[in-house]
Amino acid sequence: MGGRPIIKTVGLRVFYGDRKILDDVDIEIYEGSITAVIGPSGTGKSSLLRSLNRLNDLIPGARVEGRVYYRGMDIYSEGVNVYYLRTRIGMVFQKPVVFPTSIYENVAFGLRINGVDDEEVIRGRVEEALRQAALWDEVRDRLDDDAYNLSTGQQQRLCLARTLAIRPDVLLLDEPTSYLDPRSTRKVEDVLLSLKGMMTIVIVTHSLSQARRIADYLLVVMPDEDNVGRVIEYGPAEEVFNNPRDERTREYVSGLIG
Amino acid sequence: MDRDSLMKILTASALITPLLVLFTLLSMILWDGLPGLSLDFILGLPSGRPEETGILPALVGSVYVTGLAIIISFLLGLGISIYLTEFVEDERVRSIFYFVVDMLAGVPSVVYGIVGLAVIGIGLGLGRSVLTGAVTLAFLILPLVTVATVEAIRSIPDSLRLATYSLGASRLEVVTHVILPMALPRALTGTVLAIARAIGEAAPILVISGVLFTRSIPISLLDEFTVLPLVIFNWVMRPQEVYMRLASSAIIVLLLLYIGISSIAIYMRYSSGRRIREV
Repeated sequence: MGGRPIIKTVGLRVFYGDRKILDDVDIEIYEGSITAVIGPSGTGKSSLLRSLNRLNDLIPGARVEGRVYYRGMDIYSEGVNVYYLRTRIGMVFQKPVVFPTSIYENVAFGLRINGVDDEEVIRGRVEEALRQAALWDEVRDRLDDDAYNLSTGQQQRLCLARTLAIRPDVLLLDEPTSYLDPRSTRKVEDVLLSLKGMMTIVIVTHSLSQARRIADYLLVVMPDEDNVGRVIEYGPAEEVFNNPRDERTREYVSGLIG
Repeated sequence: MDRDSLMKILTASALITPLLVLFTLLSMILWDGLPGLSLDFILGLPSGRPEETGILPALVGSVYVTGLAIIISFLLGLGISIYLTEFVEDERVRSIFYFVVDMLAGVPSVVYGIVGLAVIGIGLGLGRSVLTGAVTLAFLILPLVTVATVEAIRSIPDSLRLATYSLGASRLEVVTHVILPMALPRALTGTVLAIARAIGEAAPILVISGVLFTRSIPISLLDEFTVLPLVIFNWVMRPQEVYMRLASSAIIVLLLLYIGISSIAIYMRYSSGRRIREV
């Protein structure tokens, strides 16, 4: 596979209490690409995503074993500034998480938390992020409006903008379009395609057609006989779709299971 | 009569009964107390002659002690609940703390008075002062405030916390940027209930202050004091009818004071906080 690896996992396992939900994940994520993580629900896809920016640290009962390297640095080693790490590896969630403030303040939020206080700089970054998220034209005249007044699709792009405003290097998305209608979904996908190259994108998705539309690489997670999630296939999207090596992948991508 | 209308009548009378009781009480108090209510009564000093007496020292004492108690217990309750919800990770430890808080709510108020006098008044040497009374009352209403604040914080969806952490926030930043502004309105609602409790308490203050009659207005935190419920208690214990009327007038003042302080809290509630909505 091509490209420079930006994230690399070695023997990654995720536990929830005593239950192992993800085992033996050894993957490399390639810089500037879009990697889609697909597979049936409850196989630890979100847990995999959350172990890449150490958000699992905050989930009660969750435990991560193994190594995760980001640009060569073991992010689980001691002395890692996890707060800084999360500004480099941003995340967008399944449900749009909108803060009870204005559209402008929602995007500025991450900047303010990270100590940016020059209002001029913030204004510039807010506009830049809203443009990147293809929301600027829809909200430029009402930046001070309550963000709750936006439609669900707009709210999700607002969340995208909020994450983009702190200029992450890697963008993790956990089923970002599952609450959106097809039109809004397409908008988000277009945004992701336009960001490709500028940053590395890892997206968990339920939708095979979405993976087909945007993914460069496809990572298939399936439960084994003990219901522990495992990566059964990983490669260039085209190859995985057309020539899967694993029988279960073949059945999954052809819609027979999952 | 069909079952539905029977049910309706039964539930409606459950509502009407307490309303009737409240209405009767209020009208009796207003009937007895309104004629004696004057600025001279509210702003006057107590006197041995009932027709010349006033309640200023007790009114100041009530505002002073209750106000301080609310501030102390609000800050304390906020600290406790942020610690319990955001920093204690073990669910068992947390439930033990919740149990302790619930137990504290069940302790009779006079016990708080005795412990307050012994520990703060005598032990710490603060005497029968405003400060001793305020701290004691603060602990008395602490469970109410804490439970309300904990509920307020727990109603903040985890998704908001995770989203904030995912932007690189530290725990402190999550607390100051998300937890505090969003929990404040509901926490203040709980505090309004606590005000009602604190302002009407006579038993613990009787133990701590013991002063039923004083002409001196408390100014320093270490001054002796009395409160309106004690003055009312003193007057209703007397056989003469004139004191019954004086007590009613003082009760009206107490009610107005309660409405006044609660309005401040309710105003703060609507102007301070942000409401959360989820998709």
